[in-house]
This record gives sequence, structure tokens and C-alpha cells, in this order.
Amino acid sequence: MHDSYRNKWIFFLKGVRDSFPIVIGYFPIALTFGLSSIEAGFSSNFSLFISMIMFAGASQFAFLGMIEEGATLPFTVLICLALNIRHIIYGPTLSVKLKEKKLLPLLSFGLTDEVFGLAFANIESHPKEVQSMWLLGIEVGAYLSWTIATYIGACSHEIVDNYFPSIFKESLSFSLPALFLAILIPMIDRETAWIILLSFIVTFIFIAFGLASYSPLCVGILNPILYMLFRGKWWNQNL
Amino acid sequence: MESKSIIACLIIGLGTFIFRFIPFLFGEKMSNSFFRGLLPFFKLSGISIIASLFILSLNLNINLIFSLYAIKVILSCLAVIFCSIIFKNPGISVLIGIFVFFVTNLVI
Repeated sequence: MHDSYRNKWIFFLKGVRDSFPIVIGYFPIALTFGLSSIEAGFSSNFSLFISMIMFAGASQFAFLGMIEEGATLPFTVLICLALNIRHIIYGPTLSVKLKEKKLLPLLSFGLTDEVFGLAFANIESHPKEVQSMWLLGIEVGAYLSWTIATYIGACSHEIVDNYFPSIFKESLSFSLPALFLAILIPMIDRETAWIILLSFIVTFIFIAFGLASYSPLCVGILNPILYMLFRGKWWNQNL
Repeated sequence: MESKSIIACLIIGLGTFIFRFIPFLFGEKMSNSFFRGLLPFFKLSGISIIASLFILSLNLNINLIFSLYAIKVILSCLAVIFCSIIFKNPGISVLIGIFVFFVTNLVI
């Protein structure tokens, strides 16, 4: 019994260690989020609160962007939730591989895009009875990286403003497109390439007409329907 | 502004948790139900939203499309694509993308 308990914590720590690639990726992005949230008029404590409660990079940046653009809060909430709808496929996909069903509420909270990707690829290489603890370790590493970097970014806003050249901040501004692109690349295949191209075109049209903030929700609903109309047959395919 | 934003954050946080937790909880049952038929829709919806957010995050407008900024963005995006294919690690891809963008800002 004692050995089993110790074994679980060993795999928890292994999970924290295995989260290192996510930690590297999250740090500059969360740092940028902290800086951006101060620029959007929020306090450093509130920036930390956003990261602790949401723990969803894309929707956090969308939240800031839409508040800055003057979108209403209900519409902002709707967009952020629409953006996270994709998370519903992670649970069913991962539950096929996850043999131990303990800690599900806790594990669900930390199931981000990157955590899902890492877990999906590696979880079966761990013994059944410690899979949950290993996954929890991954999530704790990712969560700590995200929240701590957010707070550092928010608190160091003045230092960055006064002591770092503007080129540094401009360079960090690319972390968001880089993250979206890095998430998008592994998803590209012969089927999804069409819908990504369609999304680009529709978003450019929205930008051209000054309706940029409406584009994520519209493409999220319209594109799968348009894709079905033009390409047919996807509905019955196991994508 | 923050008091209203706190409520908005809590709703988004709760909604996101539900999106992650409920399908996880009923994962095996869902795989045999009608809901499975909707999974491709949500997958395509998610990809569409990420693609749209990628374009929006570039802060493009008609004037910027034909400027030096576009060249910097294209070079940095190519670096991210290249690293994603080679390393298959989003963290490294993002870091190298930022570095290339920093270098292009210095050079161009």
C-alpha cells in the first residue's frame, strides 16, 4: 500500500518533468499575456486571476482583444466559449486511452490543447494505475508555468517599458500568432487544409469590412456547414 | 470595469471547465451515441476558429499587407512552420518564431 502511494507520487513528479516542452512554450506567451493585460487597463492581480480561472491561452487573448476593441461582455463571453468548444473532443478521445478514471474533475480543468497533445501521444507508455497522476503532473507543470509567467509579465510591465527597447515588446507580440500557427500545423491534412483556407478567406473579408471581432464565431459556425455543402460526405467520416 | 470582467471571467472559466469535464466524464458512452456524429462538426469548428484567430492576431489591415511588416511576418511564420515539422514541439516553434521575428525587426 505504501509502495503504491509512493509510486504514484514518483509518476506525478515524472509528469511535472515531462511537462518541460509545454513550460518552455507557455512562458513567453503568458509573459506577453501579462504585459498585454496591463496595457488593456487591468491590474496585475486581475491578470493573474484571469490566467488562474480560465487557463486557456487563445480565449484569454481573445478576451483582452475584444475588451480593448470595445466589444460587449456578453458577446466577449460568447466568443471565448465558442473558441473553447473544440475542447469537447479532447475528453472522449483521451478517455479511450486513459485506463484509470480517478481525478477526472481535476484533470479536466488542466486539459489544454498542448496538454492533450502531449498526453495523447505518451499516456499509454505508463502503467494504468499511475496514468492519472502522471497526467496531473503534466497539468501542474503547465499551470504553474502559465500563471507564474502571467504574473511576472504583469508585474514587470514598467521595467519592460523603461529598460527594454520597444523592439523587444514588438517581438513578443509575435508569440500569439506563433502559438496559433504552432497549434494549427499538426492539424493540417488533406481534409482540414480546405477549411483552414476557407477560414483565412472569410476572416480577410471580415477584416476588410471592419468586422474583425465577429469572424471567429462566424467561421466557427459557418465553415463546417459551408464545408459540408461544398465537399459533402464529411459528416459520416471519422475525422 | 474589473467587477464586470470578473463575472465574465468566471463564466468563461466555468464554461471551459464544463466543455472539458462533461465529455471526459461520459467519453465512452458518447462514443456510441448520436453525439459522436457531431464530433467532426466541433473539430472543424475548432480548427476554423484557430485559423481565424491566427489571421486576427497578425493585426493585418489592407495597408500592412503590402509592407515590410508582411515580409517579417511571412519569414517568422515560415520559421514556425519549419520548426513545427522538424521538432514537433509547439514550445520550441513559438520560441524560434519570436526569435526570427526579433531578428527580422533588427535587420529589415
